[in-house]
Amino acid sequence: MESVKGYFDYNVTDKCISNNFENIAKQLYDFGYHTIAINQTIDESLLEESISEGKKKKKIERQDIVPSPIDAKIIKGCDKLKILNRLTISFTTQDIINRIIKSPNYRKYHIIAAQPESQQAFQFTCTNFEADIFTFNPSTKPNYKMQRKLYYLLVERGVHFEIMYGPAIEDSTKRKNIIATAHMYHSFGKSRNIIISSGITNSFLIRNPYDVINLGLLFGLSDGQAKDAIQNNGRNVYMHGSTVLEFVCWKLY
Amino acid sequence: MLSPEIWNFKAPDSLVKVEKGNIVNNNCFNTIQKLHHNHLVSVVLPDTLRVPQNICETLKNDCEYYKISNVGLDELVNINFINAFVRKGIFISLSINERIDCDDCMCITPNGFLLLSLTKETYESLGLEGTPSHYYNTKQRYVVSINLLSNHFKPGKKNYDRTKDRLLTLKKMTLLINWEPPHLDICPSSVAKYFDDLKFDVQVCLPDFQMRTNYTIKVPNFTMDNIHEFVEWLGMFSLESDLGGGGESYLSTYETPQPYQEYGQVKFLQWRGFFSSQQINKLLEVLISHLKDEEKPWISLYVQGFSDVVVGWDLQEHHYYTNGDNGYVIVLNSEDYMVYQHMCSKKSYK
Amino acid sequence: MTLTSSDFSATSKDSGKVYLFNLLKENLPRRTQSELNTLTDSTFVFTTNARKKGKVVRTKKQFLTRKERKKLNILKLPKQDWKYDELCEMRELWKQYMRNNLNLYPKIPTWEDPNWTNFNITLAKSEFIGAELTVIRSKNVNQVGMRGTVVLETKATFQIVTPKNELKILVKKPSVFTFTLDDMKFTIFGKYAIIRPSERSIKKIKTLLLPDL
Repeated sequence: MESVKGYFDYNVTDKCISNNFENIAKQLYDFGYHTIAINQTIDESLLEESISEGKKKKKIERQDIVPSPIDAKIIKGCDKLKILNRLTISFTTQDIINRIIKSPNYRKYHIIAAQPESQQAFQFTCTNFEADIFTFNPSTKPNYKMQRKLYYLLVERGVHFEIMYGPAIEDSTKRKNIIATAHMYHSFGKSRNIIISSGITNSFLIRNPYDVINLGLLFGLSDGQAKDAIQNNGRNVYMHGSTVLEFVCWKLY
Repeated sequence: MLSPEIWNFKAPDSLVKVEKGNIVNNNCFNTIQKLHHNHLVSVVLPDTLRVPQNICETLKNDCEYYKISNVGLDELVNINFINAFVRKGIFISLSINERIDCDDCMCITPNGFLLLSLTKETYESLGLEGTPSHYYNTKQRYVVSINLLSNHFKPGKKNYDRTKDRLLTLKKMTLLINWEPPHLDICPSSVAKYFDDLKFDVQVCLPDFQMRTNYTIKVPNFTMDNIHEFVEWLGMFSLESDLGGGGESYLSTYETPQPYQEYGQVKFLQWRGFFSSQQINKLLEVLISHLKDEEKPWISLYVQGFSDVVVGWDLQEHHYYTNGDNGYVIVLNSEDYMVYQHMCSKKSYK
Repeated sequence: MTLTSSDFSATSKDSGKVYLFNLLKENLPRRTQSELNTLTDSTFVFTTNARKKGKVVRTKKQFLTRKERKKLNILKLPKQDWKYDELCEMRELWKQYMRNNLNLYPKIPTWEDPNWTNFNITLAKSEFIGAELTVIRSKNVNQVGMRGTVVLETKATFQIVTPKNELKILVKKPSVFTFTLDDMKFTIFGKYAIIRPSERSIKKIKTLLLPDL
């Protein structure tokens, strides 16, 4: 159980890794983010094609749906920065979740994020799924209706709602959707348990944490909530993510 | 079903206090005593051709500070250290490379208190009594205060032993130290030697000094009426910004406040380092005597504190929301003085 | 019992008679008492007052009630006369016990292995008396750093004997404890262990627990 500190950025997309992650990691550290999470996505719609293809081919090997987490030690230049692994699951029905949970790679991720795309998936996330972060796709409007009851249900279970600022800088449609969703969270849940993350695909989109606090005011958060969004709530997400333990945890000397 | 209000944003909070008075009473020195850890000092001298050597030297000689890496805090509680350096002379210290809103910080004030500002996890693991920070509604930051000069703080006493034991469990920090010895014949580097003997990595740091001359500058007159504009001009000048009005109506430009006078030469001096309030005091005395001897229109002194220090003004807790600046400007002419303090807001954010 | 009038007339048996008469007076119902003097020949059936041949009742094993226990002062452990060194045997016994418990798992599982949950359940159900606990983190700052052997576990506390032969009562809820066994270090969050030790071996532990105070 290591302690995490500093400002948190829970969504550095894996596209950043391929080109020059060292630079990005150093930049993030200089800006003040001492804990980041590399995000890898599983998209149900993309997987379905491969499943149907596989059936045709009478697949003998069973491929693991879940990609193995990117090992941060291989990437140099990140000694002081704490790098976590995060898996985002974008789904419309709950069948794929069962397959994912059984995969051995699933347990290697520190943080799991749920991105429901339908009302049914949303219901499933609120009741049964053990996710740490609740996220959404900024390119489209949400397909589900948020309700206050379900929001508070998620808050009770310790799930945090993610708002990304990176896509908002890039594209105006995404900006509209992000602000709309943020205001929806404010209306339904008084902006409780919100975290702000970057969702960056390249280094031009990184912003200073203090600027992100000011941006949080635009998302409907109050002063204290905005600061918590990158600090305290980030720590809570890590704590929630490390509950693979029960009341006794252990480590070898 | 309320949409959040996002059109009525207030400016970030800050507090400004202005104090005016007569030099004769010597009250201008009061503010200096309140800020203990000073980082940047700058002086503006209008209408000056040659800066006297004693002004430049005041904050250069005997103002060395030392950077000691990887010190465990139990060393600072060592009774020999306390008797030799904290009881005699003026000792101040600060931890660097630690942010006050994210990490654990420490500082030592001139009145002998060792203060720690800790996150919740560190505080709970440390085991020394402290109070929650009043800036946060949830108890996420705690301040632990240890009185090093107390009569009961000796080896053999339960309090001392427990404090020393528990401080061993805290992680090591890099510190800045500044010690002013009680007598002139003791060298200030004896504190460096003390740590060097204990095999710590000690680096001597000298204050960084810069001097700049600007020619043909429009300088506003210092009257007690237009204080805010005057201080704004001082800031613009110190940052080497464009002071002249451009005349273009599309862009906004700065205009020197009226009434103003044009001087041939204006000098700007800046020191960066780790200064105690005593050293700033000496500088102000030198400046006042210079003002009286040479009959200058006015002299200004700007002092800025550190942003990551545990206590700010008057030993009150310091906080960094989106900025953590504490500082003051003292402007003097031959009769009056004006002190302009800018402080971080004391508001607790919900 | 059959009486004849001859019993009443014989004078040598006077004392016996008086005794018998008194006995009858006491035990017979009041209605018949008036007729006692005119007894000639009566048959008394004492069946209503006859002692029943009772079943042999085995006395139920009675436990002491809580009030009685409190009176006898056995609810609390004595605060003096503890010897830390003498508890050494108990510590060794406990270590053996734990080794046996955990030996069920040939290889210690990490949190990636499937039988991690079972491993934790075994740990959660095991007994802690005799373990050497250290408080590493607590909201109660004076208790941080305390170390000792557990002598009693209650619903809300661990009672330990420190190396200085003192009995200390550690509250479970605000603290985090650790203990070591061979080359492994275990951490217990007190707030999830607030169960009586007798019930802890039966009750199910929740799986979603935050490692934070």
